[in-house]
Amino acid sequence: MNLHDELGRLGADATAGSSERLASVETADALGARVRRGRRLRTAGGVGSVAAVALVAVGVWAVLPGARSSEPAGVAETVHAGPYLYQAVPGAMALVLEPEVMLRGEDEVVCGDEVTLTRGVVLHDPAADPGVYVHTELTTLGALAEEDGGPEALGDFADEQVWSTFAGGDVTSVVVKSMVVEDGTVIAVSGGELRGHGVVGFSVGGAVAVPREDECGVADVAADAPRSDPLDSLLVAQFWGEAEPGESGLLATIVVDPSEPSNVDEAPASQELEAFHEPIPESSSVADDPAYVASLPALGDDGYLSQAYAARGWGAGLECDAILSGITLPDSSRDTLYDVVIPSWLETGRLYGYGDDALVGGYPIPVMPSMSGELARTDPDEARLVLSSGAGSWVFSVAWSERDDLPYDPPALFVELNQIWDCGNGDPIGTGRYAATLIRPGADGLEEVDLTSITVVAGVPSIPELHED
Amino acid sequence: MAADDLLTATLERASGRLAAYGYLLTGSQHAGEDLVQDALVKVFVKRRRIPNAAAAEGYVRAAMRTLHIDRLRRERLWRNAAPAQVTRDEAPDHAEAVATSDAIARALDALAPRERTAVVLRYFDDLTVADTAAAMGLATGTVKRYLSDALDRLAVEVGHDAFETERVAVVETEVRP
Repeated sequence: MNLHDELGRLGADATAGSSERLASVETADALGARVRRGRRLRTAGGVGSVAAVALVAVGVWAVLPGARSSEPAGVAETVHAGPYLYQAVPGAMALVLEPEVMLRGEDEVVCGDEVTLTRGVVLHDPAADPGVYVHTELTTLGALAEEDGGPEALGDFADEQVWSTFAGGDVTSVVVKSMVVEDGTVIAVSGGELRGHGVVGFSVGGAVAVPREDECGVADVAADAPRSDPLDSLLVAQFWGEAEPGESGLLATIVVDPSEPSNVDEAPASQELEAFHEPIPESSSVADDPAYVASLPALGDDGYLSQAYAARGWGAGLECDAILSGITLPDSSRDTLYDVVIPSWLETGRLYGYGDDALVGGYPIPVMPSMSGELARTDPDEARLVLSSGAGSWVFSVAWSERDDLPYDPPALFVELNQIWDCGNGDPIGTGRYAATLIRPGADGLEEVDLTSITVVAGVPSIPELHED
Repeated sequence: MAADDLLTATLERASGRLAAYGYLLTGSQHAGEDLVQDALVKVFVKRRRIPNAAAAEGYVRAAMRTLHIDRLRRERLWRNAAPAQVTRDEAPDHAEAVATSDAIARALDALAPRERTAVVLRYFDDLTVADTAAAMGLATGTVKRYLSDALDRLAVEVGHDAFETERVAVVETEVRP
């Protein structure tokens, strides 16, 4: 008997149907999407640095020093143009119901797309009053660093040409990219982008690199790829929010063409910023701060559970795109209604397992200190928790269960949160405070529940035995 | 060939073999399919000069091996840290029902994950003991012990001295023009 042959036969016999599933169009499409997303992350400086792409704060700029995997080619021409200010003001906007380009989702722009872009502020919903704005200028990373301590640390990246940009408005989501369009065809799209997600009235600030020639967002950039002429590049910002209560969608696009003047002269209206994802407190390693951890409410105490601001029907299902494009971030100015069995603070150890290299999924987190004996386990495919910050959205499946068999926890009702890696931000979530939205089964189908913010702390402080290991 | 086309061509050409390999490594049809998909993503995310689907299959197999061994390592860490959490209820696997009727399948199922992996790498991938040890990050002596124990179990199921020693190539190669 030939063991190799026997193993081969066994494998073939045991995988009936696998070939058809793997070779199906659906699988190929899904894998293609994962590949494109992965390439985008790599282009944006590697998985580990994606969280630095966007910060929700005016006055903070984010750069992508890793966006180029090797030394830039050619001699940089210093460019300074602008600033340009585009603002949604009456008489200075166009109405185009069908968006001419999409910066995210299935129809996200790629090289080769044929587009006709209306310059300036374009509304996509006549009922919307998004109050959006873009304030940007063409410059270099080095010039930006001059204002922030010196360009020396940037090395060759100091010559990188960027759009230094702030964008915001009465919206809940912003994406900004730079692209080059030649004869109506997109020939380059920046791999890095500026992306923000927050409560209504927020802004993102950062630097969006002018794409190199042949850079197509999802692709690696060749070491010798020549620079595009920055004055040929466009800056495109898109804004999502609610045109009407409960109906979220793309509200506006702003296209900045450096060869055209701004549409307004005055400075943008000051924004009331909701700065999620602030490091808390000063150290990013909150678990190292016993005082902070000790101040967090314990299981059973007031404040341990998140509370609902509002709930509404959710008809979009639990597909990733529907969630990321459809959720409405909570309005924290509203009164809270009731407790929701999701903790108000989470430990990374319980989200991902314990240890530096143990991303094995959600460890049960106690939410109610008593058991009814009636709940075995809910289906994790029935609910989603979305945590959002200026660095993006993290999506988790949610399953509740009653358990009395855990070595470090007394019998209780638990929730397991498992990150859906191919939906939203693909990195483990960092410490910080996040806007939280829960989509769960309600009495009349799925409902979207606005939660009070959720704080993520490092480690597993609730399991000191493990933490000490 | 564009990346998407090459990905599709790889799936069309090799999905059956890759799924079988995934099953042998993981012991589960569904886990094996997941492993194939994760490996495909890993290979194609990084832009490489892959000439054709045959070469891509080789890359994917190597990535499957790396991912699987990496997961074994992670699970071991986790098992040490939180033993109650690693026991998971999995959905009934049709493939397992089929496979358990097979003597070798029964023997493989009885092996510890690392033993099973060592057997697959040594006797299906035809790696040397030294290469198997290097791939798994283990000492050669440890791999030899895994293999010895595993073969003892296999011998109980299918009889002593049942296996030939010669091995054949696993991945088909395309004729170059």
